[in-house]
Amino acid sequence: MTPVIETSGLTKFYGTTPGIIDLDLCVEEGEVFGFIGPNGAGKSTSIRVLLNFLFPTEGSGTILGLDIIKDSIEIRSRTGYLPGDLSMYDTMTAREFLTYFANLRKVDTQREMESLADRFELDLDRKIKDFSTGNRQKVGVVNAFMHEPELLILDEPTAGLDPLMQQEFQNLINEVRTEGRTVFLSSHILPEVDRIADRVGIVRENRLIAVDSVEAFKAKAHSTVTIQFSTAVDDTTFAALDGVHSTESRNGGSTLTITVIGSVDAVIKEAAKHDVVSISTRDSELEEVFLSYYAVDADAS
Amino acid sequence: MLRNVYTKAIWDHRRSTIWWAVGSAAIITWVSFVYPILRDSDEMQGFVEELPSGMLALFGIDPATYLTGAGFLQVQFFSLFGPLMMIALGISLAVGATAKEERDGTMDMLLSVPISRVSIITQKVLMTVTLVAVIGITIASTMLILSTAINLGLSIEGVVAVNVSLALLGLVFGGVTLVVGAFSGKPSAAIGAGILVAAISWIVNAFAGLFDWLEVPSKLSPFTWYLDGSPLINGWTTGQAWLVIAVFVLAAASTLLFSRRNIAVDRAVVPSVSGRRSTARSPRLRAPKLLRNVYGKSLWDRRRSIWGWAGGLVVLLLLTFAAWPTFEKDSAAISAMISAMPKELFAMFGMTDPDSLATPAGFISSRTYQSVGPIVMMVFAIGAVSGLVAKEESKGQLDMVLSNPVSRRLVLLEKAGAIAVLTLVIGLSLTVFGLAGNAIWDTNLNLVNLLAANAGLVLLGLCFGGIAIAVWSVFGSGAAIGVTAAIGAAAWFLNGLGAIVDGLAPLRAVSPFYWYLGDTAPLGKGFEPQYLLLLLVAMVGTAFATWRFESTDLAV
Repeated sequence: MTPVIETSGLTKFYGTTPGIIDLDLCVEEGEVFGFIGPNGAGKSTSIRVLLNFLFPTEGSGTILGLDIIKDSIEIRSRTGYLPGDLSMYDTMTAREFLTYFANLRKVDTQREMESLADRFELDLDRKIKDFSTGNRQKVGVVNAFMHEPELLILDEPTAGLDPLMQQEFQNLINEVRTEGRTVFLSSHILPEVDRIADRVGIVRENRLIAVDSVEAFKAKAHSTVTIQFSTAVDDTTFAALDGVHSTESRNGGSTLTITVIGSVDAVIKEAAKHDVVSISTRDSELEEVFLSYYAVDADAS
Repeated sequence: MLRNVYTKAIWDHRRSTIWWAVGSAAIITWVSFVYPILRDSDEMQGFVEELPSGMLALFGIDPATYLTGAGFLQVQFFSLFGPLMMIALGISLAVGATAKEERDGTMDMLLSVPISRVSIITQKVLMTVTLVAVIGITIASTMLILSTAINLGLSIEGVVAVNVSLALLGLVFGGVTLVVGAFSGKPSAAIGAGILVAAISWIVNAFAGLFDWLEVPSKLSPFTWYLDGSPLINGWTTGQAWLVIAVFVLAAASTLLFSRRNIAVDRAVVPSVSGRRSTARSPRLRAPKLLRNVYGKSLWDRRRSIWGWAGGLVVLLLLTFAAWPTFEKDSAAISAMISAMPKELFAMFGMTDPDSLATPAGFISSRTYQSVGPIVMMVFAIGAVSGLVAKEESKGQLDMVLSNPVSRRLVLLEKAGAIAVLTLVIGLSLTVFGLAGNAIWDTNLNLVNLLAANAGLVLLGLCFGGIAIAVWSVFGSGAAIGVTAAIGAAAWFLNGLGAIVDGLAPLRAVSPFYWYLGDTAPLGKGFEPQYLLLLLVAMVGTAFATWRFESTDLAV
């Protein structure tokens, strides 16, 4: 099966300033792919190259099996896009704006437009300039979804949405996934990516440095196990176990906090040799994975 | 420079101020260098004293002083070019004072620091006054230097007085913009109000001598306060006192209005959407039919402003028709004077074929088709390209449009088509009202010539639209207006200078203004082959821009 998005060596320089370098991306049909990285890492540049707003300096790419430059129009007819920095026609009402865009797509989206607007509690008959940031974002969301595209390219989609609307947005993404459609979203809000993405690509300093499933990333990361024993325990036996990164002993040695990379199996088995009062584990968040990638970078530089 | 609101505002304008200074110094120098041609023409002397009253009213010429350097500059620079420039400066600075900051949302930020609103707007007013003064001082010093260098015989008092008047005039209309901006927070409304009041004031003053009923209103026109008493010749005038009072009243009014109203009221005060949804949604409005494609949307965007442009030119045209009977009475004397004056003098101001001035075709051409008309048309076309193309790119709206399955070529061509249609609307309005005016005031214009003059005007607009869009495609959104306006000004000067300076005559042939104006008044000739050149430039410019746009990055 052809991937929905595939790029090879895609590179964009603005003069001598790099935007994105050597991007090799492969997004499969029906998955939600999170594209994460700090501000200015090259996320938006990549998206703008994919949509042919920018011409790549080098490399090539296909979307839905179509060339990103040559077949851009065909690609755009099957794609929904939500830009990171929304700029709409402020003097139009939301309805005028959305109808205009539906007309440009040559599709009738009246029904979907209304139902999405209802769902996100958006008043279609007010001028866009009178909307708050969150409501403007809703107009952008409706615009991206209303023609039911096969692929959604969303640049920081939940910026400005309140928690209720973020939840609604996640529901929407889940429905899209259930229908077998594909979502490519960039974000730096990691808990959000954690909740909705299947796979994640991390961009750092204009390069894609790692791609894996969210679970795999987490497995590679630290988790902490806190065990309270009835008596003091020697923490050096735990420190010597496979996968243990560090240990910390408190309450005269009866409470141990152990940081583990990967499986906690060895730690639990060792703990079972003692009299355990309570045990709690905290899984690592994607956030920590992410930070660890950047910590490496900070050390290097 | 970033110590307070005032210095920050000055700092923001540092580049544009330099350009304004260079431009204004260049224009006054150019006009001044023509004076010796007139002074050295012996034939002029005898005729000027016999000038008829209609002529005086129309050109603001004082026979006693016209042949002095001061009299010449008073008429040739301080009656039209100077005010036009200074008013544009005043309005553009004033709209930046509050309205633009409100629209951009930076006013919220500014008001979040502990400074009073009175202080903010006062500092902005001071910024406007300072920068207008800088340009006034630039013109004054250039004139004083030129006065010595080429012997214009200007008095220091006159030079100072006329530039104070000019600066005050710019500040008055800037003040109108300031008041409307402070009250509404809308830049477009503020600019529109400034231009409208200035246009009415100018028309009332310019036609006062020809219509009795304009006698009283003209006394209230800032243009009258500005021109009456010819400050360059006579020094300080009472009109200046009125200008000062008007500036203070407008500044005070804007301060008062600004400190009492809700900033960006739309966004902040209206209750949340979910609360009022049931009432707001009940009428299921339909989107306008024009929003079918990029072309329709572009027309829809301008559906209101186009009538302002067309209406302004139509009013000017009709007033010119109405003024003809009065003017006609003196036409014999005028022809005599004109034939004595060096032709180059007229050509320099776009009035080619001055001999025809005493005929309806020449007179009406001179007021609508040879000076104001072409300039307005050029400004309109550049503005349309800037608004519909350049601004949409820099604001990121083109990104949104192009995320739809539409080709870049189509988007640009539809926009260009819309601009062409809008230009045509202006031309058609002028044609319809020109035909009506011709019938009402019995001017016996040749109908083919009338059509041709309007067609030429439309084509001139298209030509500058084509240049603007090509410039945009090469230099980007930021430079589109500035570079095209500079090309336009150069073309205008080239046409004028080409008429006076022999060496420049061949160069004149590359000026679109020359293609349009030629050597005969537009209403006095039919369709000229050069009109095709205008069309050609428009088409080549658009085609070139389309070609470039197909393969360049969208800048945001």
